[in-house]
Amino acid sequence: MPDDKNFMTGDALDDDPSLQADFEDDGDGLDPEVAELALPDGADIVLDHDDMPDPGAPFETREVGS
Amino acid sequence: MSGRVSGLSDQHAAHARQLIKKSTTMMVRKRDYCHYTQDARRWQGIDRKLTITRGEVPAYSDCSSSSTWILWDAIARTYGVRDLVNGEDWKRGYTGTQITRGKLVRHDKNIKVGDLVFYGDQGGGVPKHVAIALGGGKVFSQGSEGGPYILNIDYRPDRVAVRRYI
Repeated sequence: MPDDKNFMTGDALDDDPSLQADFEDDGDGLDPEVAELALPDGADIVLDHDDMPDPGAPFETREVGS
Repeated sequence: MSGRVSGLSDQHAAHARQLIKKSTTMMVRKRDYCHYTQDARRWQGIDRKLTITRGEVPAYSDCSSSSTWILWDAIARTYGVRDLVNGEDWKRGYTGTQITRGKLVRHDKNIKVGDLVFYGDQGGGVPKHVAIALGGGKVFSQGSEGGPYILNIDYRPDRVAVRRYI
């Protein structure tokens, strides 16, 4: 996997000494269940729709369950 | 100082990441139940306070609402962390708000479970799509009626950023 692929700069935690704890090994390995469910490269998938803001349905008017 | 964006301890962050693995894999296993929508039903995960700790997943979601629910369940419902994902008190959001929050992860070697991975640009710096990193170069993506899927992080060629909220 290529490194330095993220073009944004300015607030990267990689260079913040106060956030070094996040580089510890607490959850970046490949879980067997994730590996089992992962699709192979080139799998025939339905393409992603572009995301959008809430389409005219602010939180206050949404149905809220129990 | 915990040394984390969320302020969670090492133990709680590890637990949050385990919850994220559980919720994402559950949604993929229940693909026939987890429909894609961009209408208001996409927020039912938070609205109805669904939680993977009871085996619950939302029946309707899209990329930004599923990623927001998954992080809400892992860090807000469980540990009371404020809305670090959208800055909207866990009431709304999309890729345009997610991309402005959290902290950038510049190097791929530092990507961890629960980081959000952004793709494309629909103008004004608003990404077209967001997925959740699952470790080992895999992501969870709820971007279409065919999903959700677990895919390689570069399953599409337009990755623009990775950001951390935990």
